[in-house]
Amino acid sequence: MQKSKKLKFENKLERLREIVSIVEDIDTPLDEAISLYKEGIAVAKECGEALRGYEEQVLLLKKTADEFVLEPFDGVS
Amino acid sequence: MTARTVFSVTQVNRYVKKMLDSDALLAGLFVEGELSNFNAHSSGHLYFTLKDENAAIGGVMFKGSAESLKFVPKSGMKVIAFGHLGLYEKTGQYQLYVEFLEPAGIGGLQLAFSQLKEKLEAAGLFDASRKKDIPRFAKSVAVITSPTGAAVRDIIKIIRERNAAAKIIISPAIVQGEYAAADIIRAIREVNEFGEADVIVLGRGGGSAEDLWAFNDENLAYAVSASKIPVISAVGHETDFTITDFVADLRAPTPTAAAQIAVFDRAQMLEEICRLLDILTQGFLFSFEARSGAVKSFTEKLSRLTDERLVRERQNLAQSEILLEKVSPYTIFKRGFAITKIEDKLITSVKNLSPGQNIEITWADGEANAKIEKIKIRK
Repeated sequence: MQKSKKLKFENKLERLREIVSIVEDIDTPLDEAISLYKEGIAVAKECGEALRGYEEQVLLLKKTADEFVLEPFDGVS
Repeated sequence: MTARTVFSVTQVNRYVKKMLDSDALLAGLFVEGELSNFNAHSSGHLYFTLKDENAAIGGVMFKGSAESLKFVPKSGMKVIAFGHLGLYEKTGQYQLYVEFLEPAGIGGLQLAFSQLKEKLEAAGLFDASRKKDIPRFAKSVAVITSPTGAAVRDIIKIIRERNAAAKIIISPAIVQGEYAAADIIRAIREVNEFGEADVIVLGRGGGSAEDLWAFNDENLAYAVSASKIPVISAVGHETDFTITDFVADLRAPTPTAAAQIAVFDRAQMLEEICRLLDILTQGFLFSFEARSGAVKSFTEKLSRLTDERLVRERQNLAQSEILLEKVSPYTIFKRGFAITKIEDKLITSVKNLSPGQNIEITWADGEANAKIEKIKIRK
């Protein structure tokens, strides 16, 4: 579980699809199906959380003498 | 009186055709006029009439030339056509065989455009092999455009609608006039130096060809090509093509379309995950069911529960966690089902058992050890 947390969203989604196809296969042994099912639920939950996220700001990129500054962008009217 | 010479119609037309074909001026000339009776034939050839206040000439543009058109011709449009004048022998009408067609009024700019395009094409800047893939799951989008135009508002609106969790970094740039190209180059460089964006949307809203001209700059083309972050170009309207569009990793027809390409649709993706969960649950329950008729009524109940859940889920995506708990394998245990194991190996058949064997039984809240006394195999 710890490991899958580090995966990027795309990899997680791929893993979920892979799990689904293995679990869907009726030749998959039950114990494997159970553990994959558990993993699938966890991965789906992580995907859902990653998607839900928070509302990101719209920022304005500015460069001063030698560094970048991000300011809230309020040009949307 | 000399004997009269009689020609056939074919001979006459052939003669006139030869006259026309041998004329240096008619072999390649620009003609300005208004398009009328425009007809894009299903064969790919275009048929039309070029006219002005006093006269008209029939025109044809064959598929091969028509395919490289950079705009969509329409009746009523003022155009400059380049081609040769020839005779269509069948009808005895002369017509303009058009190889190149451009909207009138920007002829000079258009020529410069064509020349630069050829040059950069020869330099390999438009090669498909140079194009970077646009990430499918960008989390951060840099938008290089005017911070005050309609384009920036449209782009922000679409990105927020599709995926509010995507970060939008506006890198303001002048997008029109003599300083525009240099300023856009600066913005591309800065966004790359800053490095946080997964993809760049570069563009501006619609305007005249002169307004969009900054995007036909050679140095800008090289800057777009050199960007480490993939660039989606979105300059003007669907029918506007600029050099930047050819160099960009992807050309979007409009700024709005660019915003749609830049980020994925979050609600759609959540739905996709719910769908996968649905299949996963069904598949899992099926593998349970396939092994024991005893769990059948229960799985039916559970799958009904799941279906109802999923329907509600799609209406309220924020509650997906509840669903996840309800369909968890532990729920099955909570209903009284248990798993039996021998030395950590799952028992899937009584045939694997023998009297006197020690087994481990797992429920939702704990385990117990037991000993097999009697075995009955169901037939």
